[in-house]
Amino acid sequence: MLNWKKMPHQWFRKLVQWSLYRAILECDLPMCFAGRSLRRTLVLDHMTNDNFRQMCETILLASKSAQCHRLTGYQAEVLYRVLGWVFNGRLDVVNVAIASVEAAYFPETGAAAAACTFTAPLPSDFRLELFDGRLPPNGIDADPEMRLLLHNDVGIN
Amino acid sequence: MLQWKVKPHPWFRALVRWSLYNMILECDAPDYFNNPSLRGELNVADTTRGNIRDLCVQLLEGSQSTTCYQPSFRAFAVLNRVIYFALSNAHDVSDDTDVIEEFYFPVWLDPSEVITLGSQDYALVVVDPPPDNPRDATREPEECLYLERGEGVAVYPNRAGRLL
Repeated sequence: MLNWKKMPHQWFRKLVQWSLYRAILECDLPMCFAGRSLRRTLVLDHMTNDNFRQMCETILLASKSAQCHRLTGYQAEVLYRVLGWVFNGRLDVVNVAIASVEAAYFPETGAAAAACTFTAPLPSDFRLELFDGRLPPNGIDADPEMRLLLHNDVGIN
Repeated sequence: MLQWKVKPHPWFRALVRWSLYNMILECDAPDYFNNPSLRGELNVADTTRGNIRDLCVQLLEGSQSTTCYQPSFRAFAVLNRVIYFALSNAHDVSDDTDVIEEFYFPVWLDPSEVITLGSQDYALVVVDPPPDNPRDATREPEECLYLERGEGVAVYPNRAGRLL
């Protein structure tokens, strides 16, 4: 599990894992897709494709673990962009969904999040660090939360 | 390996493997997304997402094995559509990629024909490997993916990403 702002529901954990699998598959494109690069689409100019793939794998492993892991600011920003990419263009997901998901789930990362636009990741961004705190309980049921975050135009802030 | 018409070159094996992973992930898409109908995309009847996933996993395992396996006629036809589903998002690839079928597929089924899978289609049979591939591995992708057949016009991307 990751150190989300609150205990994640299954639908959200599944979304994160599926999105990361999609991103990893995009890193393994066969040569006939030459010219398509998710890393470039996400404006991760300071990472190589291998860096990006490795970071997605690291986050995926952490998200599937029974133990809770702390995301670095860089990791959180990469995951945020991957989720935004998955939402983008889906007619059934509202435009504000990524902002709502960020407000509901993403931990505060401060200035560290912007680092991945301007700097290369550090070695620590490819490692998992255990989070020894407890996540607050989720105050909303799974279905209404999913509808609120993905399908509600008003979003949450 | 699968029993293609000829031994597949690495570029084609990579394409098949990626296309199958891509379809498996499509089958795993969260159900709260309004996902496209894979039955419609692949034109298969009486088949669930789970069935399509099972078939793709089977084909993927067969394609990655050193032993040669023969999929059923219908499984090959589904695989053909799985590859086209993946290639539909490859912008540089020619629309006219029938050459892949001609080079590699031992069977061909009209895309408009509905496929109904039976339990026997999920089994792979061990067979002898296909004959050697007489074509040049470096030229074959261009012939299969980037040449407009009949016009002799190459649409292979150059280094700048523009089409030639």
